[in-house]
Amino acid sequence: MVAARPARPRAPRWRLESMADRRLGRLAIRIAALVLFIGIWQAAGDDSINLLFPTFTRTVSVWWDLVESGVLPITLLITNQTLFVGFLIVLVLGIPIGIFTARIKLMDKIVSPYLTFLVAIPMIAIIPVIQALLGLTFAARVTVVVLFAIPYVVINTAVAVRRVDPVLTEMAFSFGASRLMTLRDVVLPAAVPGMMAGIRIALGQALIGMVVAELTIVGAGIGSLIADLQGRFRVAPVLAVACSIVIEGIILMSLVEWIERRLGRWSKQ
Amino acid sequence: MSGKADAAISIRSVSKYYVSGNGKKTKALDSVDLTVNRGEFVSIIGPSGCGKTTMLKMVGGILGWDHGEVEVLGKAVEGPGPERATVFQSFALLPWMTVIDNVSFGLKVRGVAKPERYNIARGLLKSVGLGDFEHAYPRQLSGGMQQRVGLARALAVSPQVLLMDEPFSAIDAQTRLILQTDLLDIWSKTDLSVLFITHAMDEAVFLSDKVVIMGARPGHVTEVIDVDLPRPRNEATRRDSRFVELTGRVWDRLRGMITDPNADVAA
Ligand SMILES: Nc1ncnc2c1ncn2[C@@H]1O[C@H](COP(=O)(O)OP(=O)(O)OP(=O)(O)O)[C@@H](O)[C@H]1O
Ligand SMILES: [Mg+2]
Repeated sequence: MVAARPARPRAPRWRLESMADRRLGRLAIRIAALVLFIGIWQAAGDDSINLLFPTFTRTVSVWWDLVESGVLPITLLITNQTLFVGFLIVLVLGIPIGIFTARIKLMDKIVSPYLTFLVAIPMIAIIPVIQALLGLTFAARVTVVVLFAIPYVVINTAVAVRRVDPVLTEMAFSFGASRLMTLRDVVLPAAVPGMMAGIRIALGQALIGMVVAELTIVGAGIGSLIADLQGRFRVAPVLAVACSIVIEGIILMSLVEWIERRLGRWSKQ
Repeated sequence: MSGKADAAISIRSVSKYYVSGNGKKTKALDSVDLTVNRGEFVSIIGPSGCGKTTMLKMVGGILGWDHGEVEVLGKAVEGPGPERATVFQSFALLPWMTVIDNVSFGLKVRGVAKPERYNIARGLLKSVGLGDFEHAYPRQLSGGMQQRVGLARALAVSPQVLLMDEPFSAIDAQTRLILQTDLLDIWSKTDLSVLFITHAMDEAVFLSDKVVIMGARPGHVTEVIDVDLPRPRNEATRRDSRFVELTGRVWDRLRGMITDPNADVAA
């Protein structure tokens, strides 16, 4: 038997180095942009009265006061409870619904109109309805998060499952795999990159939903803290709280992007 | 009624219709007869759309038919079975799995424990010349190497009947010649019966004991050519005048169908 020529198992060195160089270059550009942004913010700010837009340094010091007093950590905790529970429900319900939607025609017929509805209408418009149904409760806020995010998980999961190469499922079937086995060992792994893309978009939507719910369904968390501070015209704390949410959002999104890249490595190239 | 005792695959008067979305019925196969004896290597060649893949899928148990009988090793086909394995044109490897996991896939489906299936897979990877690549991913391999993995995966379940649908058509011409000899090498050491689909006439003649020529609209068998070239076959076989003659004969039969797509139906 003729031995196959050994392929290079890893990319050659120079490619790795240039990749590292590129990464460093990207980091430098990002830092430069951030410094510029902070500089402009600092110059544009005016700390003479509370009503005006605060400087960067004042925002940071106000932020630190909020952290030290424990106000910000507690509100963040409350807010994240909504996000966490809501997003968990989105995953636990959204992924199976997506799979069934892709695999069962009847399910598709039932689910699709609602998905279109949820994606097409401005979600803010149905918040009063949720409030009327569930009141100013935790459940109401979680519901808002779920409704904001779940369509993206369902749609992307369904698309990813439908796009799985039929040759792969045929292969599994020809080896005698059951439907369940084929789903577990072939269809789901093949659909993971598409599913992760949906989960990333859904997380962004869930973050928006979380703040919107708290701003409109007043009750707890960051949203109500912002509403309260705003009512007293305290611009600097409002900004500090808003920035905290933005930073949390960036961290969570980066985390999901990282997981997405790791799980989807095989689908590149 | 059961076929001849020594038949690995027996297709008798099989017809098949496809029903398209708008309800239109098209006849894909018209009363096809085909026998692959045990240990035999049989190729099917014919114009695009003549129903070669359809037939192979029926034997594989992943597609039904409308009339006639399909038997494998004397038993009517009712679905996929452990005595059959398929090698796919597009390799059909799972890109997120390493080579060894791909080769073990069929064994995993059959519930073979991991150490044992890795053992079997390692042996087969060696025999297809990929002993050093068990931890590689399919995308890191060339097309020829990927199809070696596909072949190893099929052989791993120790089938008695091997079904191959244009397995080398996505592979460059030189690598393809090497794969052909390697396939014959492996086959000669087993008692595998092979049904092999191809569009390459030299490939069909080089590999087979019998070349089945099919025509289209609807698919049917036009002729079976016995290949009496001695075995083992090697590079010298390709220069043998008998090889050239047989290849020419296959081409003569096919040429008419390709230049005039309706000539074959009228006949
Ligand atoms: N799922 C299907 N639905 C409807 N018609 C089909 C389907 N699959 C195949 N056909 C038709 O049946 C006929 C035979 O198809 P088949 O794929 O078996 O041909 P083939 O000989 O393998 O062709 P090729 O050489 O191109 O691979 C073709 O006319 C094709 O259009
Ligand atoms: Mg085909």
